[in-house]
Amino acid sequence: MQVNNQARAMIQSYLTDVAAHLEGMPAQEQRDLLRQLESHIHEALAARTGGQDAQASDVQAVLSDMDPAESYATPSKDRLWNLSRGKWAFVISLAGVVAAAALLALGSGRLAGWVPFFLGAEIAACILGSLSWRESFGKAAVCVSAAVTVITLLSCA
Amino acid sequence: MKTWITQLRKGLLEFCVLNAISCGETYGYELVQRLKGIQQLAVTESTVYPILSRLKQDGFVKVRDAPSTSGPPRRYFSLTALGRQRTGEMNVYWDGLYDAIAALRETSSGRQDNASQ
Repeated sequence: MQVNNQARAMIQSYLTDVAAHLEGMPAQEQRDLLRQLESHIHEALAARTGGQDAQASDVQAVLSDMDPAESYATPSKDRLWNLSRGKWAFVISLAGVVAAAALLALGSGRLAGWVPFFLGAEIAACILGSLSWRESFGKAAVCVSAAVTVITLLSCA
Repeated sequence: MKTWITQLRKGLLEFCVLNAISCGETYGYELVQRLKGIQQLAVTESTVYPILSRLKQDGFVKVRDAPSTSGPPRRYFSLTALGRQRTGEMNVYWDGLYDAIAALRETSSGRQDNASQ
């Protein structure tokens, strides 16, 4: 059975989405699961087309019968410490915003000594977020931390 | 689905997967289709494949790749000696539990019958 490029890209996209939800799982288990899923999709395609070449519409039908990528998210034993990298980045970036807002409310003079800490935390959140770019929280962390860094630098200038 | 059903089902899935593989070597798609046939289990790919990966990692299941005409190699699963031992233990435990619950239900339905007479 042949799968055209568009159909192959759709399968790859689904597998990439699933992989993004497997962060808590050991690496070897992740690789196994993704290989099994890929094999499952091709078996389902063969069953659907009777072994004929699969089109994008066939892949679409097979994938819509399967669980959404989010359903592969590994349940956390401890929700706080098992946050994904992207979520940690987002929490750190938001913590910087909240802390800066609190210090500004107390008086802008108090902010000066804390600038290196804010910048350090925001830059860490930005790096962590960009390493988790596949996650929506990773993207959000990069945006928030970049914005806070720029605002902090401008207010110091 | 009600929470208690979900909890009960979670505990039974690994047991069912091991028993399904103990019938003979099988591949993922076939296994999922077979388990989907048990309506009460409400099995999907996202429940079976992570269990299979974990069972392989824990040494209960081994995998053999074989060429497939439908695309990537077909992955055949079978039980290891450890897996057969675990399945046997689980079956013994299940039989004991089933008998005990059946006896319990029989006793309680007998009492209800006596009370209604």
